[in-house]
Amino acid sequence: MRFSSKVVTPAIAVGGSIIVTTLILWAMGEPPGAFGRAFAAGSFGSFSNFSEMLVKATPLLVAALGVSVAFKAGLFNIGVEGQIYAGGLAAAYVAAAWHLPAGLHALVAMGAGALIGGMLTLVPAWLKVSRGVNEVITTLMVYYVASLAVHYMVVNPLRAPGVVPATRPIADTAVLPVLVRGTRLHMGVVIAVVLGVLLWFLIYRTVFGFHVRSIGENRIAAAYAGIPVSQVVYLSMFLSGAVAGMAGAIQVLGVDHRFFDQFSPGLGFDSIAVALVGMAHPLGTIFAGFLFGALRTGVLEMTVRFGTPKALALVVEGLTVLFLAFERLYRVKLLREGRVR
Amino acid sequence: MISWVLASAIQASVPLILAAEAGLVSERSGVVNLALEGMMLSGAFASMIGASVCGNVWLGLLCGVAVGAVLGLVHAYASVTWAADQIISATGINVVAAGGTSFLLKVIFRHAGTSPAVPTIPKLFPVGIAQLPGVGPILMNMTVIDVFALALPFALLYFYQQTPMGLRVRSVGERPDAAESVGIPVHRVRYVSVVASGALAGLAGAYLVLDVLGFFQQDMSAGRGYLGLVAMIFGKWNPVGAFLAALFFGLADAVQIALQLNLAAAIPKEAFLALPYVLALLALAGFVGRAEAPEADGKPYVSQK
Repeated sequence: MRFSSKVVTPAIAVGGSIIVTTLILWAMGEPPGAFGRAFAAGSFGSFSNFSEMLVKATPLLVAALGVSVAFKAGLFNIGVEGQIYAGGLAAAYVAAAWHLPAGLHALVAMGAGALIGGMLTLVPAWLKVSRGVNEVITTLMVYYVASLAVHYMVVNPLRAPGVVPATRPIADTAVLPVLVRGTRLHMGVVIAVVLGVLLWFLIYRTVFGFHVRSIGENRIAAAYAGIPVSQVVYLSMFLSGAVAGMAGAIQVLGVDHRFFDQFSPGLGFDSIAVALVGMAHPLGTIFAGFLFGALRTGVLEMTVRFGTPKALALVVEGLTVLFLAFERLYRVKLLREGRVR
Repeated sequence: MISWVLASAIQASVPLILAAEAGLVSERSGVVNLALEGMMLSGAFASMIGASVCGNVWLGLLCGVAVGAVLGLVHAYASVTWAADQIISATGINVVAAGGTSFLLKVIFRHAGTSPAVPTIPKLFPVGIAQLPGVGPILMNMTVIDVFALALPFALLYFYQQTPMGLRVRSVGERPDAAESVGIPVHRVRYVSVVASGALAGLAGAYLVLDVLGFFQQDMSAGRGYLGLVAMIFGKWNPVGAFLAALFFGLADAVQIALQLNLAAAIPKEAFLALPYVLALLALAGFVGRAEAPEADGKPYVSQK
């Protein structure tokens, strides 16, 4: 029963939003099926398209893993965008200013990104634990403060000479190596998948993971069972922010090689959609991350072929999230599960 | 000088006031409306379309309000009828609004970014009033919506504190089970509240197009929906508190712009822009009084009947 709704809900949401979008495009006079063909060609048509899809999916996927860790603990970390930017900036700074051997340098830079990303969740976690304040609004506020601070840093003290506000290029020792010559496919995609598997192990095979899931299911029962709720809230929020910070770091070290101001607006909110479609399961999130990466490249292909606005990707994504909200409807009407927790 | 800053503060505040009161109307009934941002943006877009198709600013205004209300209905259907996670439903609406408005803007007008100019709401006073010492610049740009936004918080305060209906709505937001046991239709109250909230958010968006700018710009709500919610929190879920917070945030914005123009910014403008969020975090932490949400805020209610 549980298994079925975990698969059926995202399937309906993704399928439903693709159908609705196809209908809209059809009403606008695009041939039906154009969407599907462009989608397939854009992501799988050639190896270079496929590798671009993986490159686009990587930061999305890592950030979504961060979101899903918090989801597992019953927490909504809606401020991922700020953690991504702050993590990316920290990584860019360490990667440009410090001198370390190759490889280690990249690891340290990613660690710096993770640390800063995690630290941004401390205030919301503290407010949650000590004041009972809903973390949604607080992570959002910290996002605004963080992104303004990051913007200030990139435009003023850390700005390198040039037209576009950006930091200095990072040192070669910190660059994540390209996997296939002639593409942008970099080590980050491997790191992302390994990270997903590690998080799966952490959440489903360790005591800490059991605690996280327990407070996610029922915080009060978990407290009665002697689980240190406050401590687990702090740790899972920190981990969530740290993984999101790593997403920014990986994008900087693997693709951009410097920190561009606003390098990917909306990435944080996209990753929330990915985590939701992945039903907050690390392995489901990996799958959803690649699906949304394919959506991006698919829409890009449509832009090239038919001049379709790129915002179409957002419409598909938003409809998917909206359809996910009706989880209970599907359970009651389709799966005949009467009462829902 | 000061009255010019005040005038621009009011214009910056009005959308925040409307958004803050929209958030409050929804949350007082127990539904968190994080979709304000998307509702504002859609309301702005719809009012632009309405005003340019009908050639009439009032019909444009109506379109903006109506689209906000329809999105409110969607949010209510998900979060009241189907007990959806209100944040998920709202995130969906926000992303669809951001994508949909940008998509339609490109498809309809062929050039991305901005729409052609549309008629704007007539000012209440003749242009000459600007010469009036002191209040002149403030009154100069006043429209019906400004007056509405300045009066609404007090009307809502009266409604929620003095009328039986208002008290019933609040009881639904605090203890829906108790409210239902005395015969208050919890779901209906939440539906009406969320739709009203959407309509107000749509109005806030329409204001940006029909009163401030005179055209639609991609992502023109620019976080004002969220900032409205922050004002609501800083105002401690009280209509007049939210109003004062929104006014204060608008003033901070106007002062920041004036400083940029005059002093070449000794203080970075980012510090001013971050101020509302820092203040609201302090309020939530209990350093600036105690901010408390309605008891059942954000919790879906499954009828016990």
